Amino acid sequence: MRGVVSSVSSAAVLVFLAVMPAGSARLAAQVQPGMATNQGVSSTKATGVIVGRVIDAVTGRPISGATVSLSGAGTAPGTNPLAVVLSGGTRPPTPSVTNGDGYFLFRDLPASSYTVGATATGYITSAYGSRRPDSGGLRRTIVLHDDEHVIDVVVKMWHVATIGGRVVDDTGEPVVGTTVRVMRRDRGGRLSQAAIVQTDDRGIYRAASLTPSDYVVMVASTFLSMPTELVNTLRGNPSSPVLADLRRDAAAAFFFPEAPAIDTGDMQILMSSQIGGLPMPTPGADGHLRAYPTTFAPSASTVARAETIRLTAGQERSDVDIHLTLTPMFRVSGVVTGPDGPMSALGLRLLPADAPQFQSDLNIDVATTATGSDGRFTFLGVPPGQYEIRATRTPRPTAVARPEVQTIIATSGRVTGIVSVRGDMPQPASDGPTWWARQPVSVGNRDVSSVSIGLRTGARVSGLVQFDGVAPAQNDLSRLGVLLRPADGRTTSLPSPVPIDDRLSFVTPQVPADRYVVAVTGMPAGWNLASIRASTGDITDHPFTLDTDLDSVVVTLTKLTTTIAGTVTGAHAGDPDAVVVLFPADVRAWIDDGMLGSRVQTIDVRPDGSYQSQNLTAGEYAVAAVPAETTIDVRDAALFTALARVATRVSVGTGQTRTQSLTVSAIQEAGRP
Amino acid sequence: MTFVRARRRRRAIAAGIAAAAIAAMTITIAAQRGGGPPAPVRDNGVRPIVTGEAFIGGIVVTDESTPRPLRLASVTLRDPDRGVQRVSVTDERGTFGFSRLPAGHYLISVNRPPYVSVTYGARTARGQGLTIALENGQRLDAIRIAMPHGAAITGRIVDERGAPVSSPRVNLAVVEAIVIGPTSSYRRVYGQTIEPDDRGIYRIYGLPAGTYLIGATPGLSLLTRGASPRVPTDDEIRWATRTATTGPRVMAGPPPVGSATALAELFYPGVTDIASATPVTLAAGEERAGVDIAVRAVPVATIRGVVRTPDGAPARGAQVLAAPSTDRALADVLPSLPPLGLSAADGSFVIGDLAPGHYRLMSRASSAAGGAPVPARGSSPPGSDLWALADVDVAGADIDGVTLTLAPGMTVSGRVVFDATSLPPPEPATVRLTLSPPPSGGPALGAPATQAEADDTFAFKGIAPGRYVLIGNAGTTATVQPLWMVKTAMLNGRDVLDTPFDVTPNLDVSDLVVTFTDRVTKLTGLVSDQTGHPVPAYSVIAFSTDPASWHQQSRRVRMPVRPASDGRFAISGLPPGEYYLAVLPDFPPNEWSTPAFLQTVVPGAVRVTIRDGETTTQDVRLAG
Repeated sequence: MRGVVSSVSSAAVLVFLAVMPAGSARLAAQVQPGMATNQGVSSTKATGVIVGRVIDAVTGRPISGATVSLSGAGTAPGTNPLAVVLSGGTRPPTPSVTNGDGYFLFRDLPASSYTVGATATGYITSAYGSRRPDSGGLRRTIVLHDDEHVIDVVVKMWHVATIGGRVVDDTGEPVVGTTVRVMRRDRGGRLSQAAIVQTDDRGIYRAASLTPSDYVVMVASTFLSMPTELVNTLRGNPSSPVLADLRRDAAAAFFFPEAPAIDTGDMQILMSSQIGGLPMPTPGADGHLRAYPTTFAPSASTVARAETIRLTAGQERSDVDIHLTLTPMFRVSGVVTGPDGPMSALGLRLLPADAPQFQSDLNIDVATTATGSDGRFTFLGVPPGQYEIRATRTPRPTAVARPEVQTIIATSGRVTGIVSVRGDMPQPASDGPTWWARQPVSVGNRDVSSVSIGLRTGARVSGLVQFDGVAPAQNDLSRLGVLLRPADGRTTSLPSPVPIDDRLSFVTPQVPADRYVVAVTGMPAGWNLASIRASTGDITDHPFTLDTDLDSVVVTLTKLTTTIAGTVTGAHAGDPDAVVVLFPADVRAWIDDGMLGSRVQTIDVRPDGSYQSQNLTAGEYAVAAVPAETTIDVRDAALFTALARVATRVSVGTGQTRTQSLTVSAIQEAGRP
Repeated sequence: MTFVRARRRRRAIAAGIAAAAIAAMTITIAAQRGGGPPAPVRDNGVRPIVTGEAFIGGIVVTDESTPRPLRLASVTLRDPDRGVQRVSVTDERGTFGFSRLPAGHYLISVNRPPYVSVTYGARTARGQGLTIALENGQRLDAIRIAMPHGAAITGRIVDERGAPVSSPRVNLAVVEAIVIGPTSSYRRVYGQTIEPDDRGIYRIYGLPAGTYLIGATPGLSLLTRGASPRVPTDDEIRWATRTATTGPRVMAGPPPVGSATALAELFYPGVTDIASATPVTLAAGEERAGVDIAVRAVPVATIRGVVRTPDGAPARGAQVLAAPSTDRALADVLPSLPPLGLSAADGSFVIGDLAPGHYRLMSRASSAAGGAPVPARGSSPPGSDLWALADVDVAGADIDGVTLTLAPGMTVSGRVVFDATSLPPPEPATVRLTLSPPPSGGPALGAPATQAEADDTFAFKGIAPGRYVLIGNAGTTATVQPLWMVKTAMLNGRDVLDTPFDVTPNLDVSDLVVTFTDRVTKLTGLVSDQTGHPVPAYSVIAFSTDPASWHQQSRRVRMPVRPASDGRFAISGLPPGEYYLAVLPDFPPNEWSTPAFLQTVVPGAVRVTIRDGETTTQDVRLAG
């Protein structure tokens, strides 16, 4: 064990020596005010004051009317105070609104660690410590002692950027009341929804909540149809379990058999599918329905052809028009076969071939339908293009009511308010099999028939949870859940966490064959993940291909804390103005698997130059300090390749604390806005 | 009011033909299942699409001097009584058509923004449409619907300093002002609120010609509410920064805290009283700009307190809502949600943003895990089974130290009985029962609706003490015309269907027997002129002759209906008793059930008697 040389009088000259094991670093944590944690400082006095200003980062002018909130350390700024209360946390102090000179004030505060967040009309949500308009996650921690007045807390805010334009059709007429989605394109090229707005009576839309980034703009079209014979078995009985199956299969809560429908004889096109607000299809002279297809600005049918709009802070683009063309729509039909022959009343989704470029595959269906009694299906309203048909039939969920507190207010005999707060408990998986299929299909200028889809069974993971030490009481395990997460980091409608039973074992639902990682949620207070092991080896944060059941997985939780900490030296003395990025050393594998954020930490360097990781899992990491202005996007492969070159490798075992001093390295940011 | 001269004729028909047809169909379904034990046949509510040989078609055009056909207009055809809902979209020539229609009574509406949505045959933009009586095999292909271009209102929302205010801090509502006879009525035009953009600019479009009020309300960010935020005073800033420079321990005389404020609910151009609002009157297709609203802050207070479980322990995760108990003029027309608090682990709660007034604090919690929605593992959670109520006056200053002690709610249970004469009884899952606090008495804790269990029993759990009215429905949801109506709800030998019953503390209510009957009453008739020609233009209202029943929730006051194109009307499911029947040229959209309005209708009405399970016919001949 090697010692630590430290000086409490001047935090900036703290020096840690190389890597040291646990114990001494914890001692160091106790003697350094900058390292105090929320649990470490407690007081019954409430005499502290935090006062500061909110300013425009570009002009330096004060912003009045901004709402400023304080959060405990480790809680994101702007976190819903009710959510904090519900999860057992301490109620955050009452927010402050800035006065005409941009000043905010918090008084009567108990000694603790705080972060400061701010929101204001026309500005991007920001926090004390933010150096860039898009670094919302970066915030400085203020350690407040009894009777202390912390002043000069300056929160910089940047104007929102704006995208607007007109949506017009092939006759030049505005398309009114339609939904326009502004999708942020991350450094890995993946799209996630940044804003959703409606066109007005002039076809004009405006999305004004955008941070500097790349964007594409789209109008999505989707049609929901059902065989008439299936509608006939469901209309008038909203509690039918078959209806619940369909909604689960197709991730479509809007399957309403009673909805107004276009009757095409064998099929009904339900009006409830008008999610995008686009008109329903109209009959064309050639017998084919015609409709506006999903279109990306300016007039592209695929993500690849969409215009990328690059926005800087506060930039306003009002010329991003979208041109829609009434296009012939075709039918895609076939039959679905399960293990016992044709599969009836199965919900099916038709997704665009570029669906993997979307962070979430929800709400991008081109068409949704269901099979009839003979397993036959027909998608209506499909424009020419490349698609994938998806089928996923999960077993009916076990009837465990989600705990809920509900207040219903009735005034003058009418219900005037319903407020529900629902517990988020893991729900046990049902025993039944999951049937699934993915079938590519190509549509040209005619109907496609005879698509044959064979269903396969899914695979599941089961095992045990071990506690390194005395296991917590059963009651503290009610939120503990085990989850299979797609390895590419995308959001899907698929599995939710499963609970641990009395013998500490778990079984996930069956899932379609794919690459997954095992994740653990809702760990009891004070417990951390030590490892997840399968017979094939360590799968802690390691994606694996799941196509047959994986049994005897052992999840080990520990009370030990695994930490990488240290100090950062910058080019200047004093505040190093940097962030530390900590990520698995095997970064290539991570990039291939979609760069899950769960094991990548971006750590704000404190004014005294120190940094400390949060709840690490043992393993080999790369650690690098970069200027605070650097945009850290976990899907930015180029960034992480560059980071890996300047990073220091640190291997840390469960319960260990490794200390690593770092020097700030600027990295190339080619092509960055 | 149109003078009505009545010619009385009564006819009683035991059971409707339509009901008999449905019974036959249900038996067919049961037969297809085949072979099982002879379980009693129950109606699961499923109603297949009905088809026939009739046709309705037409054209949609603009309402201009030189009409243009409108393509991509959604035309919706409805026969609510038979559960028909079809859509047809107009083609390049503006034409639409519905084939394979069964005989029925059809309403047609067209939606094509930015044009004003039109209901075929309606005399005003909000009026009731004309129902087309269509026989099977009939072909009606000359329906012409002209759509006026919608009007638009646009403006800017700014604060006292002239800075833009946008959503979510403020939202807008459009309220139409309707004056009918002596009644001024206000109706919110959009279900959703309108959000000003980042520049504070809003635009409301597609409005029919009319008179409108624009209301601004604080954003409905229910879940982010806590204590009201404060703006620091200059004294506070000076104190905070000065003491910092003179050392951390100097704490001489902190100044009083700044007052908390929230945006006031108000109407264009900036008034809180709806009667003082400046109306915006729009002609068809007109665009009105510059309807700007300056919002302002009003002082608000915060209530702090603690929620305790029945045994005195702190209750965690209990909801506390503050419902205004005074009837505010704006409550009906502006969207509002009561401020919400949630108790922490120590039972404490905080509710901010309370403008001066009387409030009823209402708390709900679960007895599991000390109040929070966290159940014991492996057992079914009890849900919101605890309650507390307290009345509080807020007059600007914060209120601290409120204690709400939760008490266990009661269970109201019983069973449903089907008095079936011609139909198979519906499956219990299609039975929907609601306990509703009566129409008077300020805000009260309601209860979620419940369904009957497989053995025909039902139970409402966690009911707070108070007065309740029972409302029941049974059967299919595919049609509007009820096949079943509640006949009696017997509790301790008393029928509680029209008179509220009391739930008292610590006393469960059991043996509430709700009887449904398939002998649904029907009031039918023909509205004609003096020469006997049908007059479908006016609406028909039926309401009890007993003024005690004149309220919105009443089973004995029925919203006006418009006769079909053949002049015939039908009102189903009125409880037996004495009624007034009257013909109205127009009626206020929200106030038609109020005693004030109904009183004005009585002089021109005729009396009819509805008898148990019977069809009563009452024709009405209009006198000039």
